[in-house]
Amino acid sequence: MKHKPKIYAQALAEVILGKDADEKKILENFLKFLQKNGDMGKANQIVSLAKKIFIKKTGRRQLTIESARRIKAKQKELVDSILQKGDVVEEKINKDLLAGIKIIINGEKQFDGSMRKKLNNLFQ
Amino acid sequence: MEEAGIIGQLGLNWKLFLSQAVNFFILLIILRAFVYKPLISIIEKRNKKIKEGLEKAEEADTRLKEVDNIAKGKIKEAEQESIGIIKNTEAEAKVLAGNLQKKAEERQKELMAQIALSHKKQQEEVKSAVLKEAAELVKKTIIKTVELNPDQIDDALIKKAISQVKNEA
Repeated sequence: MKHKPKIYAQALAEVILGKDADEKKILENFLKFLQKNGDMGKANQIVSLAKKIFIKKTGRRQLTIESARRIKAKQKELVDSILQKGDVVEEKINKDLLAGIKIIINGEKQFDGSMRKKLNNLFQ
Repeated sequence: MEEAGIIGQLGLNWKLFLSQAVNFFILLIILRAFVYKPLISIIEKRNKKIKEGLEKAEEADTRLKEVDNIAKGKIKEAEQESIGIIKNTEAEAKVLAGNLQKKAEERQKELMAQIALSHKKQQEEVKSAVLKEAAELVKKTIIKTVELNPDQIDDALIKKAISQVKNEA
């Protein structure tokens, strides 16, 4: 490994934060760069770290929305109603939730409105 | 003369009478020296022995009585001691029996408490198992219900979650 993942992540975040940056192109080039350095194995970790740095520096929110199945259009409208401009949204399917959704903001605040949570509360 | 006449009339011959008297005295002296005195001596010795024997017998009797009294005393003492020992033993036995009974009662109480505790624990275990099983059943039922109509339940839950997020913000 030529550099530490944190260094790669910081570099990636800085480039994306630049004016008129084309995120898709930057990412493609960055992955090529990693491949050239033989550090593709850490790509996921680096991108994840870069995302965190980016969010921290821009003051944006990262929202992870977990649902038991793909969210329908009507439900998506409801979810969108809580989003702010610039929010980074990651959607995940987690069948263990059974129904409902779980919203995690910046990896800290968690709103668990899933059926699993309700069942756990009920039978604790 | 008148007296000689009487003796003569009685047919006594003075010479013969005197010689018989001398013989008698000689015999008396001999008998006294060789028969009477040793015989008296033997009788006195025998009497003395008898007297000593009687004294000893009396002394032995007295001692026997003393020994008898001592023995009676000892027996009485032993009896009293025995009674005392028996009384003490009875008292100790009563105390021991009391202690044993107390211990047995305590043990019985302990056992009863253990049994009650065990029974309660068993009841709680059974109750807990039944509740767990019932909870699992209810969970399964709810999951099945969700599977039957997931969209409707999703709608309700998402609506609630979004409302919660909005309120928190």
